[in-house]
Amino acid sequence: MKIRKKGSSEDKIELQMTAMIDIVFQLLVFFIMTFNVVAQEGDFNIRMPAIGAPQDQMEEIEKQTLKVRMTANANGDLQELKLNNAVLFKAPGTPRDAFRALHNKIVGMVADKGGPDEAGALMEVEFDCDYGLKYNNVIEAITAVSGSKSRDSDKIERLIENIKFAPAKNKPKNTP
Amino acid sequence: MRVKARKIGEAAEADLTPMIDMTFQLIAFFMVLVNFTQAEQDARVDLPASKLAKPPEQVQEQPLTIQLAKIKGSNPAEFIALIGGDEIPVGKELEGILVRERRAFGRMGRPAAGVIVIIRAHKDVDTGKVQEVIEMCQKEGFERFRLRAKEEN
Repeated sequence: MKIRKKGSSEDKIELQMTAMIDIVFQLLVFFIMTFNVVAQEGDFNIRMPAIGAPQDQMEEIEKQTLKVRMTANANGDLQELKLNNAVLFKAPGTPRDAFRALHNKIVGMVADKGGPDEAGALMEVEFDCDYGLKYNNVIEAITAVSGSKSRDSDKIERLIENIKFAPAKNKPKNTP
Repeated sequence: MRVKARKIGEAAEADLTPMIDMTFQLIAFFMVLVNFTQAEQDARVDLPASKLAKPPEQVQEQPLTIQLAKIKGSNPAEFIALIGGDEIPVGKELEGILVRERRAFGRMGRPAAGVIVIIRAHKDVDTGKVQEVIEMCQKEGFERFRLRAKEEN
């Protein structure tokens, strides 16, 4: 048997790179393809039992309902925003002002009740919207009443989180 | 000047080390960022943005996701409901699908009142349409709803 001479400078160990690189590129391509940049998503809770359904014992305490009425123009943009019949916003103007005004009012009301915990037990908000109002506006309004994010930290200050909807108004006749 | 003649058998060798380093870096990067969340997403649904939209902290039991997507190229915009890949116009047909879903949850031993319904609606959809979908769900006994929004930058 021939014994190979050790330590020869010509005798280099060759690694098979091709197979590894093949697999590595396969993996790379797979992860690049499945990678998707998605904005974080979050939910707003709304509790809407069917009309006539038995209520929980705890919920029998009569809550103060704040009515937010939002009307839309023909394009579905916000036309007017009322809180308990007091007009907070009327077009023309930027809807952002409307939601800021609503937010400030709610902050005041929650403070009057003694903080978010008490207000949460005593108050609820009912949204009464036109059928054609763009959904975007509803989320903005829910954001305005349910809390705010302080500028310097990520902490969310809660306001009123009991939200419900009144049946939509002014449904166009041609919709099925 | 003497030109060195290449010996037969001497292969040209590229230094592969930096390339492999970089490739592994990239793989590690994409592996860490990849998420196989089961969140149903659809490019036709452009969610409204909200500052308060934060991902839920606890994992929720399998919810029922209803999406209201814009039909591509429709002007004025028209919307269609999506449930688990099925495209359904909002109307009688959707009611039928909801009955099917309620029964499916029932077979799993989960009454409709305990199932969370996530509504992912396009930001331009009529509010009335969203409410119609909620009403249809209520008729089937669903009562816990979540309106989904994306995080505002």
